[in-house]
Amino acid sequence: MSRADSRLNEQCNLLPPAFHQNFRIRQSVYGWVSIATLFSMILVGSTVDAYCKRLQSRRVLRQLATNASPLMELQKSTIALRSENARRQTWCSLVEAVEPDDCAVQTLGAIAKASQIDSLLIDSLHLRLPLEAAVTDANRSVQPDSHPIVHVTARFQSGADLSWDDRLQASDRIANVSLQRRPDAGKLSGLTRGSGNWLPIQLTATPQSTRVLP
Amino acid sequence: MLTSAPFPLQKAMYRLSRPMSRRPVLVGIDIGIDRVQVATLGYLRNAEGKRQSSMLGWLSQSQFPVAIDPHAPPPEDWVETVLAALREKLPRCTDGANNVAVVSLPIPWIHYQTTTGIEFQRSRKQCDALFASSLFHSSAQVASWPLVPGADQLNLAATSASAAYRVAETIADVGYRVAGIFPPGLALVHAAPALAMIRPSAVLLLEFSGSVIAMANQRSCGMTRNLPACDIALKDTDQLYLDTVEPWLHELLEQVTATRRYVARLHRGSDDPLDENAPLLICGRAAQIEGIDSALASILGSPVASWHYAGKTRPGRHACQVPFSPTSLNEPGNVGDSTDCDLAVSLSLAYYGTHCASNQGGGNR
Repeated sequence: MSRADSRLNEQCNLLPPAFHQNFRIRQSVYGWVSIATLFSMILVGSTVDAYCKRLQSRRVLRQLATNASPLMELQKSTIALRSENARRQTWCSLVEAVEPDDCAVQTLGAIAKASQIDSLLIDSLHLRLPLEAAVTDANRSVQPDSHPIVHVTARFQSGADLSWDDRLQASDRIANVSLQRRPDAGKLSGLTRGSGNWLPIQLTATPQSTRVLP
Repeated sequence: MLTSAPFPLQKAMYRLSRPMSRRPVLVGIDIGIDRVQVATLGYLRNAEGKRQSSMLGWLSQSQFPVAIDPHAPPPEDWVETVLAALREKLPRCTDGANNVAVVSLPIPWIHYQTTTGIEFQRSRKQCDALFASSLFHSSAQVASWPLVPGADQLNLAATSASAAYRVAETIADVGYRVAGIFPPGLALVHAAPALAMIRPSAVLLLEFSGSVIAMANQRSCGMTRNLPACDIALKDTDQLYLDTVEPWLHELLEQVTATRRYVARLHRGSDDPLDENAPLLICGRAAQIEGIDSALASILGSPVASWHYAGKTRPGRHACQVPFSPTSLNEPGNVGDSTDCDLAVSLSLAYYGTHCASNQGGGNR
């Protein structure tokens, strides 16, 4: 059909052109609406899907965490035990590495010898001596807080002559002897032994010789 | 890989491609005053089952009544009645079918007028005024074509724009792809050589409630005009004989002769000579009266032919039985049986669809 014929055909048509135009407009509106609906459905679907997946993964993670918590506690306690064990092992090795030594006995002997005084009553004795480790553990044996020290708490009968500290000082095993009243003197003021008052005193000294026995 | 494509794939491809190449079924919907006639033409299949591109065949026909009395004065709700009848009784389309509908409106709805190119706008305004004051109360939708090819005189056909729009909308709602609404004379002239195998000088659509004459020229339809209705009191029980309607026929033929004379004068000035010996083709309900063609031929003194479908295939008669009045014609005992003359308009409209389906693209429903 030629173009002239088709134009003639158009001119002969009693159907208003608005009919076809409206139809095309409606078609395009339907088309776009269906496209928009499709896209929005895809969007909504993917959103719901993502939300559900997230919920599910959260639930799985929570379950995992619940299941894992006893394990974690077990692991924690294991770590703690292991470190404790290691510490104690160190101590054991330190003790095992110690070389035979009679410092304590010597010091105790020196104190006992100097304390043979009637007017003196020893309450307690605290002796701390560094351990002399083997050569392999030499560097570990010298601890910063392992100062050798002797603490003696005693009671002294008032009025008697006391040369206890001098006698201790005279011993070559003990040095830096210092004697003072005990801070809890008031509480013990009522103590008696036989007749006469007993004064509580305290002695601090440094054990002198910590030599390894030959 | 591709050479050994599996058979189901080929089948799927064929199924996919088939709806795209589906050829339309052409439906002519002739809305008359008291009835609607529907005829369908389709492309025939050849022996291998493939559709042939050029072979059109008559597939089906049907008709249903419209609740309008053709003798009463036009009712105010005429358009609504027609729309209701179309909505209820128009044959339904199957899903996915490509049914191209070409429609014609009742003859009294179309106003014909001759005008010239210069006066066209004025004529259009006249038509607007005419239809605004009519029962349609709407503007006019105007179609025009030249009386003679190349001449300045135009034949103008006008109808109510709103009525045409609503009719098209209603038909589209039923599922048809409405290609257009055309004056029946135009479709008749255009389709006569193909469907009736006659190249006529004019086509005379004879209806009791108003006739139309459409002159043909070398290329297409020329002058078209309405002719007076039959005012003879026709009773339902009347057997129609030629004698009963003879006064009306004489009146019609005077108009036909005048029209032919006018058109012959127009043609004399143009390079498109009028073939005086080409027959006058008659169709319509009144053309079914026995002996009317010979009577007309003797009065006119030129050949007259009745419209007969010249194709090889025709459908079985399954027109619904409609008690027509006063069309209970004197055919042997078949009330409401459409003959070819009666279906000429709907068939021609369907054939006119070949014109429209090719150039209207997908713009319609």
